[in-house]
Amino acid sequence: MRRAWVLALLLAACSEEDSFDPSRPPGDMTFAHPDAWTGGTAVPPPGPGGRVLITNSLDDTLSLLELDGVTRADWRELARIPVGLNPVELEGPHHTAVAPDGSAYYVGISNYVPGAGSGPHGTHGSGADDGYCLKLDARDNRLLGSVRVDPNPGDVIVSRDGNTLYQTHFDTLRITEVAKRGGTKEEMTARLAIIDARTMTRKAMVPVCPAPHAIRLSADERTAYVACWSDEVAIVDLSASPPTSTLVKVAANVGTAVSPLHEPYALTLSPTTGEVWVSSMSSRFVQVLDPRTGAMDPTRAKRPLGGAPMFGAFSSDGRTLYLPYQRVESLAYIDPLTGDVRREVELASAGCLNVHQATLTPDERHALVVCEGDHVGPGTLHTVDLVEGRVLNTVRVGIFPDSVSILREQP
Amino acid sequence: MSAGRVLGAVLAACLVTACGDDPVTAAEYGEQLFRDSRLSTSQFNRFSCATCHATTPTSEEGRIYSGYTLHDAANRGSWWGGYETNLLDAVNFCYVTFMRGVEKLPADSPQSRALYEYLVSISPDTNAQPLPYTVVKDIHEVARGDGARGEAVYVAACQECHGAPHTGAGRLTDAASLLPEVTEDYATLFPGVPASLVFIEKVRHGQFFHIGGNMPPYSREALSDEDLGALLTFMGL
Repeated sequence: MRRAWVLALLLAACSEEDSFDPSRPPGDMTFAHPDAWTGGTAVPPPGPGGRVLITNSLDDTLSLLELDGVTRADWRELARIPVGLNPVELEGPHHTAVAPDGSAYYVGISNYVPGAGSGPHGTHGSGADDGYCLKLDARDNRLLGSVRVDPNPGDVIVSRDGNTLYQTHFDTLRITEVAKRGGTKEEMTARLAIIDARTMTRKAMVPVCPAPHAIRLSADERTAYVACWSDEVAIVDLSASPPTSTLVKVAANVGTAVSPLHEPYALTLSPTTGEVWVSSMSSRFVQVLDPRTGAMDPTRAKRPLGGAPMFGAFSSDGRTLYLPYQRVESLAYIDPLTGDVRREVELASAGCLNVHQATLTPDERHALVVCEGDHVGPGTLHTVDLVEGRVLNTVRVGIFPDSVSILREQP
Repeated sequence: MSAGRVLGAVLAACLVTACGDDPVTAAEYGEQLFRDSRLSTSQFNRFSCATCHATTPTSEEGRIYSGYTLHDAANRGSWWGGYETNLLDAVNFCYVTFMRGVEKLPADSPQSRALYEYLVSISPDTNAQPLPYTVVKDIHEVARGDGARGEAVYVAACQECHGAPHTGAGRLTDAASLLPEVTEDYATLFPGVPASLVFIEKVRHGQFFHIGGNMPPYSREALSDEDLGALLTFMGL
């Protein structure tokens, strides 16, 4: 009898099934690797020269390039890295914002990816799903946080102190669906997400206008200007509680949200006058909003460009607006005083198709111009020498790149 | 020494001898975690890492896993077809998405480190390369195959979670649907859509692409169209 008891005790003591508790690891466990989870493909952190970020919206990647190589003829991607919350589905990264201290960057996830998949449960990537704003660590490009926003995130910017993000929603699907059921313009209105960048939580969701896209802040950051697909610019008073939106028609002749005549899409703000330059895709005009009066100034929108104007950049002295436009595929140097095009740099011969955005290098000697490509094969990034007026290089990036940012600690 | 004390000493010695007195290595503990669904603290989880992954160079005979074998996985450099480039992130995607982990595994917990050491212990090839992962994005019909092969595919790929056909006997969780009986609901849920398409979608997309649930998707590399077609025949679809 005693022998049987001892045997039972031994068996019970040694039964892993009974004794193993995943929540209580052995105290005397020995580790062979002091540094865990080292596996993977690491990209070096950005150097002091800064890094270029490009969102490739149809293949869920970011192209990373070291800014130091910007003038080299053989400039190439340092890496092309995946971005998103989900490695199974395509999520459509769309636009980036960079933390002023260079520690992090933000990417809007649009979930708009035509051809992303379909089945009896429906088509995926139509933009019907909510979007996200992601916060990624600049050192290792890993996710630091995310926040769910509304469908079709468009543009995203960050406040000067790095504490607040502003995310628009280019929700043209909403316009279509509301129109189909005979709804009102108010129902077509999409919201501006105001996000705490530290906690990645939503502070406010402000109704703005139908399909708001580009957003820029006034110098005092009390006002946001938003390009609205409905032939309007929204002036958002951020100092009000809650923030309020006032809509200004971009021209005397305008259409509706359903049938716009101009299709405002991008904005560029003068650093000296605060004037808002509105890039309207279908009319090809660049229209000017005077921030002092809150009214458009038609005198400088004399004639349309040869193609859809997109996201441009001002020189810091405010004397030149570098504005890319499509069809011709050109970078126009615009005189802000007159609205006239002073000079152009042709991009098509360098391989640019569907130019989307231009940004300036910190020394303002070069423009980085990203071109979407044909949305099937790779898009391109080009360095333009602004003084010589020529393209220095062409870098192939991912599919449908639609934003270019420079990640760099601000002086 | 009394007889009782002698017995106690002998018993203690037996316990040490029987159970072993060497400290547990992290890799050993990690393997236990790998095979235990309780790695996830979710009360609803029944999946372990071993539910979806083999650990030998090739899967054992008669098993089709939705995921690749994790033999050499630690050294592959990227996972999920290149869409995860950090090993812990790749693990955590599974942990949160399929195992219902409430929070991601931290890099520095004893459990997490032990799991890492186990993965390293089964990854002898330091030059292991990333493996392709092809999501079947758009759902189309596939040619039907042999029913006997389909039964073998069912046993190899489906039975672990769904249990025996028709009864679900032995299924991993009651949340796993009865096959093929669940397809009888498809006509109501998806009027006008062949049940086979819904079934194919579920296999190919798992819980993704608006579907929901907890199932992992079967990529083209994990399950061929031929085997899927055979499975459909066995399911009577």
